[in-house]
Amino acid sequence: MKPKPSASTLKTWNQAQWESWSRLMAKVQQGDAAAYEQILNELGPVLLGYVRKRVFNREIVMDVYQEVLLTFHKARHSYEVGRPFGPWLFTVARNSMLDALAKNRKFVEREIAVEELPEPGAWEADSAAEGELGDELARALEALPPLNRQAIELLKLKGLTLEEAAAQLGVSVAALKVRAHRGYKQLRESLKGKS
Amino acid sequence: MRASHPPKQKSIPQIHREMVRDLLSDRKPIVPMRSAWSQWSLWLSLSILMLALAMTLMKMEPDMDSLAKQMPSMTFIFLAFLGSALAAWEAIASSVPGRQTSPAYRWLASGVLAALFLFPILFFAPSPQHLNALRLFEEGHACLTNVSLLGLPPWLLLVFLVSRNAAFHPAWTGAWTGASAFLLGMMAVQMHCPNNQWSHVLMMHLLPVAVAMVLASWAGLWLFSRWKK
Repeated sequence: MKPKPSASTLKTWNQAQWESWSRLMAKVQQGDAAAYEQILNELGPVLLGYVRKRVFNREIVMDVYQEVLLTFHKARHSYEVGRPFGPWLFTVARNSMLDALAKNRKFVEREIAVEELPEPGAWEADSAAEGELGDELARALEALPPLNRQAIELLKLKGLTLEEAAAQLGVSVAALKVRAHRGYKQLRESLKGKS
Repeated sequence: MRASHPPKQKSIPQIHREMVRDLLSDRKPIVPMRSAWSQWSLWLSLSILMLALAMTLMKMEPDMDSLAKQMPSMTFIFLAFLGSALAAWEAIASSVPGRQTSPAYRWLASGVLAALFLFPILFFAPSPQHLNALRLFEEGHACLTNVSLLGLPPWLLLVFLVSRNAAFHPAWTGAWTGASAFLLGMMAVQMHCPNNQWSHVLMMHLLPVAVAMVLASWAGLWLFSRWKK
């Protein structure tokens, strides 16, 4: 699929700008350090803006951005000097962004799950200082069905990855996710009733 | 020419500065890839040369007199060449960022491939009423082997060229490399083989091309993503 930068994106830089980058790329391919630093610094805000507009999870924007820059670096040999720079740049940006998002999918799933619970730091602080929320959480956790409780304990208290926790329990990752999700839901309901 | 709107250095995050430092440390002169057109024309001309050489070595002389009298065979050979050339361009273009072909082009290339598989059923000589797979293989395995052998060198050449590019959809690119190279092999066999029964052409000439597409797609996952490592 062809990348489709928005019309406003394309209007932001004039033809001279694209040609300037095209010339810089020719120097980059010859190993010119100054040209490389210049183009990276000039393209940085462009690529970061491109990623920010398309990645809604703010926590992984910079990870994706780094992946895009790294792919730009690895693919710099594939730019045909003299051809339009924009289509090349946005193809690299778009595809590397999609690759990075695919790599981050598991991370995103886990992080979304974490957001459903209080911050781990808050757990410690509250339980140490006041004891009440910590006790309530401990009780709510204790009241969960064993399978769901085990899933949450391994993922959130022991910090195992989905794969590690699934292997320890002898279940598939999908089954583990279902158990954890049910556990979070039950915990939320339980804590909501107390608050 | 300088940028018309140079970015403000202050707004650049720390992570960007660190990335720039790392990338600059890895900076070295690189060999820019050949242009897509030059890769395509190089592949096509060298492949035809290799094919002619291989046919000579394998003593596969094309029976041009009888071919000229058979319009379906000539059309089929032309379609195979066209399909091969279109597929090779798609393989190369799909591995060069910013060079992707239009959907219309991909429809055309896929249409030619589909037409090639339908062509024998519609226009070639009917087969015996009771098809016997074993007998079909016994009589035609030489064609199957020849398509595979003749298609291999052009495929290796195309893999060499494409693996130096930057494919983002390696399996897709791989499938097109398989189609283009092995269609050339099929075309050569078709020029030589006197058997025009549709079942023979479909199973012993075209089936290896389909299998090659699947295998090349699988191989492409590894071969054409090495540039990212």
